[in-house]
Amino acid sequence: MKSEERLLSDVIRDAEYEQFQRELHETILREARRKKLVRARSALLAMAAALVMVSALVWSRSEARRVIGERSGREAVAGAARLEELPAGMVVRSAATVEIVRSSDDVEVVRTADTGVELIGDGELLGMFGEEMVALVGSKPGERRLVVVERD
Amino acid sequence: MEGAVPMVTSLQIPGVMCDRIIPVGKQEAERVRLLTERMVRGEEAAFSEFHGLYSDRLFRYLLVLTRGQEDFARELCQATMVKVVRAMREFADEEHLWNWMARVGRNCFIDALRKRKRSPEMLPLSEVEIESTGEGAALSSGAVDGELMERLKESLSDLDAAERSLIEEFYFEEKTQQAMAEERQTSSKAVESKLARIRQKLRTILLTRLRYEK
Repeated sequence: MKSEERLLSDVIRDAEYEQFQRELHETILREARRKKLVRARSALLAMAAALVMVSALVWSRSEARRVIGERSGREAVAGAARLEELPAGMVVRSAATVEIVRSSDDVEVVRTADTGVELIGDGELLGMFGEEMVALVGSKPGERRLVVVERD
Repeated sequence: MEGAVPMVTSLQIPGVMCDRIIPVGKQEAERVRLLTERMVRGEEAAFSEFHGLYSDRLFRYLLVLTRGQEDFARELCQATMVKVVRAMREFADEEHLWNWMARVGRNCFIDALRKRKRSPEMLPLSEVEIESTGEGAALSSGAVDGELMERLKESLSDLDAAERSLIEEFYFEEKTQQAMAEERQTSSKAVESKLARIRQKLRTILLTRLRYEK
C-alpha cells in the first residue's frame, strides 16, 4: 500500500470506525440472510401455486373427461334403444303412414277409420237436417254447439 | 493492477488438456463477475468478501459527498449497503459495479437531504459536479480519493513541525516505531501513542477541511 494511502486509511480508521464497520458487516449479512429466506419462501410459494394450478388443471380435465364419458354413455343407451329391433307384436301400423310403437303389449291401440275424415261446411251440416229446426250457437270463441229443436 | 500476472487456468476437455490464459484486466472483471454471481446466489461468504472490498471505498465516497459529516456518511453507508445487497445483480466488471454502487449512494444522499430539508450549501461536490456527471454516472473512485488525499495533504500542513515529522518518518520514510523511539530517546509505546493522537488530530482537521473548504 502506498504511504499516503496507508496514512489516509489509518486516519479514517479509528476505534469508532472499526465498530461501525463490524456493525455494517453484520447488517449486510443479516440482509443477505433475509433476502435468501424471502427468495426461498417465494420459491416455495411459487411451487405451491404451480402445484395447485397443475392439480386444478388435472382435476378439471378429468372432470371434463368424466362429463363427456357420462354424456357419451347416455348417447350410447339412446342409440341402443333406437337400434334395437322391437318384437313384431309391438309394432302397429295404421292405415295411413303413421307408425305407432307400443311400449308394452297391454296397451290397446284403437284403430281409426281407413279413410280420412271428410270436412263439411256449416251450410252443409245444417242441410243434413232437412226440415228440422237446427241452429249453430257460438258459446265461446272456437267452440260452437249444434242445437236441434224438437217440434212436440 | 501492479505486478499482477496473467491467470492461467486449466481446462479439462475429455481427451485433451489445454491451458487458458486470461489477461489481467479480464481477471479483475472475472473476479467481480464471480463475486456478484455468488452474491446473487446468496452465498454469505461472498457478502463478507464484498464488505471487505467495498465498504471502506463507499464510506470514503460518502464522506466526500457529505463534506466530512462522518455520522451522516455512516448513516448513508448503512442505507446504501442495504439497498445494494437487496438489489444485487451480476456485474461484468468492477467499473459497472462501482458506478452502480456510487449511484445508489448518491441517491440515498439526495433522498436524505430532501428528508432533512437541508440547505443547498450542504451539498458537497456542488450540484454542478453531480449534474455534470450525468444520469447514471458517478464520481470515480479516483476522484474521491483525489479529493480526500488533497485535503489530507493540506491537513498535514496544519500540524506543528514535530507532529509532521513523526508522521513523515513513520509513513513516508517508513521508519519503525522502535527506530523513531531511539532517535527521540523514548519508548516505542510512547511513539505509538503520539502517532495515534496525531492521527486523531489529522482526522479532525481533515473532516473540518472537507466540510468548509470548496
